[in-house]
Amino acid sequence: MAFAAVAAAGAVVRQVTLLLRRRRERAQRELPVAWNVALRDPIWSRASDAATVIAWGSGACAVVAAFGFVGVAVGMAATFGLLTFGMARVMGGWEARALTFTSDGLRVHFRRAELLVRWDNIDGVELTGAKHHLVEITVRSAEAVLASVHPRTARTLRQATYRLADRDGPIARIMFSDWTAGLAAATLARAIRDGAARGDRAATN
Amino acid sequence: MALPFAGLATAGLAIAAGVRPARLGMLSFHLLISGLGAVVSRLTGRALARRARRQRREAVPWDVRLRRPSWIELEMSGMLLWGAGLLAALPAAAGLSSVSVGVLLTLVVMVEVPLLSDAFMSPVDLTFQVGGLRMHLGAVSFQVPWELITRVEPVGPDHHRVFNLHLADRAALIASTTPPTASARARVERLLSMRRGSGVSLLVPLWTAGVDGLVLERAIEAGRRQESRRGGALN
Repeated sequence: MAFAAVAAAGAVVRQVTLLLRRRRERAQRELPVAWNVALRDPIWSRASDAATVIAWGSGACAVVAAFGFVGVAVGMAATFGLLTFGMARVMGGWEARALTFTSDGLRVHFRRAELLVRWDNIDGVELTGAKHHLVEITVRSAEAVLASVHPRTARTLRQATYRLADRDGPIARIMFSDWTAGLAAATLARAIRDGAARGDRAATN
Repeated sequence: MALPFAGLATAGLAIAAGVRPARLGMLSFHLLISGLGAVVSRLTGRALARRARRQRREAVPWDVRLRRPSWIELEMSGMLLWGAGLLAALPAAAGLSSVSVGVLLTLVVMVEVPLLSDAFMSPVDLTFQVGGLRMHLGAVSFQVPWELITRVEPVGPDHHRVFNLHLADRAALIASTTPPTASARARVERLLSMRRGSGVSLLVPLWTAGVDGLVLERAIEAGRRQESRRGGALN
């Protein structure tokens, strides 16, 4: 019964947060992205992914418990919870926690560090992935990005190097998932393109 | 790898010392699963190392569909059983037998399902042809002309080599799908979802087509060079 209740609650939270995200995406289409502010994904938006996992996991446990295997269901729930929490912790260390659009460039904040992608260093911005839910920016100089890492420790440099995937000589790519900084992928891609265009204009003047 | 056998030996000693065997039944079961996984993984690993050494001495055959033998999966599956059995043994040792079954089941499903779906989503079989590399996804296949391979980007050390294939003209690749049905095209589109402008990048995992990663990478580079000798320059 408890598993079913948790599964139902997870499903409700998921639906509500999905609706809110859709509304937010529509609103973002018409509004410019704020500059000089660290943009983060709101807690309710992050809860959407967690709620999906909880709904499915608790649902499976509820089915097993309904057949009388309560102990097995408890073992499943504990393992499921620990695995999900562990993966979220690992991924959280690598993913961007916030983005700041500044006149210098796009500042990317991680758990323990930040780096700067200067506007004139951006060569292209693309939407990729099966559902166009990933934003990929191509930078002309990976070294310039690595030089901007702050604070500079072996760990933060490793984190930044990991972000700069698909190195081809000086060129590298940085990927952001949907709803990084609370922005839908299409909005984020548009905002970065606008920023890069602004940087180009400033450089020309 | 020796941990489950040490655990089993300890359980045997406990029974010899007078502990009722029924109390250790579930614990022994999990340790046996773990031990079995360790043996399977170790044996498969050795067979793969031999296979890699042999393949590095031979040329990759052309015009033959190179298939990935299903026993190759046993290395990862064995490793999974080894870890899952050990973790499930912890609650079993504390007397929580049914909880330990839940732990084992969840670990197996949560780790094995993504492994299987990766195998389903990646090109499993390959055929080296004069016109290009044919990638097979079960009954569906598509052609990657040599000239559309813009770069082969190695990832990882020689003995554990995977690589990214950077391909130009995603639309042409999808158009070459056989059979030319909507569902077959949709499957190829899903595989080629990591877009790069009009092109795409494709991660070629370990033991694709049953061929060692380094051998496969070199064979693809050789195919590209052959194409560049026949016609235009290498991209």
